[in-house]
Amino acid sequence: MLTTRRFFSGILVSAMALAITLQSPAIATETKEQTALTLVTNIGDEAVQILSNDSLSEAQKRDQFEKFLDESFDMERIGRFVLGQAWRNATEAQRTEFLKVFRDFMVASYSDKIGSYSGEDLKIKDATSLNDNETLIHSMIVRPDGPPIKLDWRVRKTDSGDKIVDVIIEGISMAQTHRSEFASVINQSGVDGLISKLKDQIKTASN
Amino acid sequence: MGLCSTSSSLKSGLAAAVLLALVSGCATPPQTEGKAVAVMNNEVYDPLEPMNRYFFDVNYALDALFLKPVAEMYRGVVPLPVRDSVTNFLTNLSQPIYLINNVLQGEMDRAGDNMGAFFTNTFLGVGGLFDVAKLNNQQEDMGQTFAVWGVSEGPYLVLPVFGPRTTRAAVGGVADYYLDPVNYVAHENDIDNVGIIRSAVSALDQRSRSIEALDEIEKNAIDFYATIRSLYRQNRNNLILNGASNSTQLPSMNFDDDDKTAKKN
Repeated sequence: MLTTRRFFSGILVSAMALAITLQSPAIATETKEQTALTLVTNIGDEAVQILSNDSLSEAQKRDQFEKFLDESFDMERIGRFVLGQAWRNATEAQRTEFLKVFRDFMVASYSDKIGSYSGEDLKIKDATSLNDNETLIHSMIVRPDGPPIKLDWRVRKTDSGDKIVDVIIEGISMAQTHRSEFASVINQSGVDGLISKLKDQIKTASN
Repeated sequence: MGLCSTSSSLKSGLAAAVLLALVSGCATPPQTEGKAVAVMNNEVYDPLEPMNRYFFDVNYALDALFLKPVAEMYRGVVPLPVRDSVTNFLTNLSQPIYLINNVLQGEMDRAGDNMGAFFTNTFLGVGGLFDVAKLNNQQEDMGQTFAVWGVSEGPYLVLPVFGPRTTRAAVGGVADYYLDPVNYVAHENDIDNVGIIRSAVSALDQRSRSIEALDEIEKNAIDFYATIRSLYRQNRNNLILNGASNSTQLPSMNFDDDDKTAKKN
């Protein structure tokens, strides 16, 4: 009688121990995905709210977009990623210059799409964990005309909270596209060539 | 361009397979210098770049002179419902070859959807002019089937007139032509030049629906050729994976090692 009881309580204890060991990482990943989901949901709500707000001028909307880019994106990490192999060999001055120019390039090339907003909405679907630090948030841009567009957000835990490190539209990663394009330019004209091309692009876009 | 007899089409099919094996055999990117380099190589691997850039420019000029203006005219003159019907008709005509490829890839559910879409739209949708089934079947081709079978993609190519292809997709395109039941049915009924007419109409159809998108990409690109190459390759991978966002496909964005080396320097 005593042995069976001991046996059962032994099982109970080990089951509990197992449950605890299994659960603690499970809870951790859930909160990581949860915070990432919250971040993207808030961004989506805010973006739609700003874009559909007719009382804001286009310039005001651009300012908001710039603020959003600086606050929600890990621009330094994205910049390093898109520079690829060249980052290692670049001088400190080139790195700083590139990060600054790359940020302005992103602002210039994406902010002129603000005017073309026509009632799209962002529907957040779910999240998958990529690794210990990163989560992929799946969402859909629902358009008033035409089929929905699949949009995934790569969110990364950083020292200053969750940040977006990539946006993947219909399976096409923006960071990867820029990296591939920049690698080609660097091959031909080096990092300085890339920086000057980006500056030209910023100039033509702001005109 | 007419369809040859069965024996010669078998021969060209074999020739295509041999070509593919040769190309993919000698075209594996060097992977000696560690994983990061291998990934990087894979991303910008383009041994035929000078030739590709030349044909890219040729195609760009051809597009600016012919395809784009015609596509703009088509969009301006032909009303949207008619253009939608053209799209639907072309898509319906592609369902048999999609079905064959889905079967070859072992995707039986998708093959069933192809069958369903084809019969529903052919009979209830007036020969495919209307999309009644609304199944939104994804494009399937032999290039994707080869990929599923484990054939590597081979060098990136820009073909004159046809545009960007991986070698695998280019060979697959030839195989598709000889496998497509639509071409055999047309041949049986003495309809000439089906391949050319179909390609031309679908080029017009696709171009007319991507005028703004392509203009936008060109405007924001600092190297249009490299951007298109990246977009094309990512889209192909996406088609091969049937749209399942495979997270292992995404490159690592960790730089912790870099930090250490940077501090040492």
